[in-house]
Amino acid sequence: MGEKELIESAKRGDSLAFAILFKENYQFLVKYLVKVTMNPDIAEDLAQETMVKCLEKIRLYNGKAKFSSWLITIATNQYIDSIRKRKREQNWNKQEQFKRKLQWQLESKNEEWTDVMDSLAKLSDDVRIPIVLKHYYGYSYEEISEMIGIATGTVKSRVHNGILMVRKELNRIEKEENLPHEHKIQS
Amino acid sequence: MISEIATNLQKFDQSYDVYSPDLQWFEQLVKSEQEQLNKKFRRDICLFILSGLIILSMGLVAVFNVPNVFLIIQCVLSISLPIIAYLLQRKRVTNL
Repeated sequence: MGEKELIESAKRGDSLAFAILFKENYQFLVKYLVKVTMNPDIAEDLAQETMVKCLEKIRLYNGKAKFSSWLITIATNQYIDSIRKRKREQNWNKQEQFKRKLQWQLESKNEEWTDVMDSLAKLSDDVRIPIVLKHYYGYSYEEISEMIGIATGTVKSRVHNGILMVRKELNRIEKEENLPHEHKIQS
Repeated sequence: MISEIATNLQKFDQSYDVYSPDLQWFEQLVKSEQEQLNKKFRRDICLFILSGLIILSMGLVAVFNVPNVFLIIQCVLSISLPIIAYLLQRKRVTNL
């Protein structure tokens, strides 16, 4: 059964069709949420909340966008709502802890937690979300504006400023890394 | 810089493992949520019917027992509602 047929069956209340749709999109959804939240625990919680919301709203899905795009739109809005409610992003120590968890997970697979990832993790969520959507998933500014409910101009400026912040942070890291080296040469 | 960000995110995506539960887990989740939604729907319908009946019975009591008060309320509402709607509309336009 193709995705369209599954969605039609899900709209009629078929629980198996829903389950297949969710299973097929679960990894994509969690990976998106991990990149946006930089927090594996919140990502998994939000993925589950997104699926529940999707069950409620499936009749509103008109098929214009891909089902996966619709899912990440719901997930993004769930995340923005949760930040407003719980002020999750203000808990810096926990955020650091989760970042280290991600770092460890990558390093256990012999992959490096790069300075770019570190700089991205330091951005605030309202800047990181549009950057990931634009420069990784390839959505247009207009699509992102519709997805997260802010003006296109605001999306553009957040992406632009975010890129500048990443560049600045990378320069700072580079200078810090070069500093002891220069000292060694001088001594 | 942009391509560097995309490359790093892609590497991250490829090396980050996600444990995906089996189909039965998803089906169980869907069934229990559908049950909750049905319960909520039934509760909302009951509340809607109940409040409708209360309003209707209050209206009927007013018509038969105190018709003057009923007529005054009708007149006040039919005049004030369009005015309130107009004022709200104007406020929304000026806020844009």
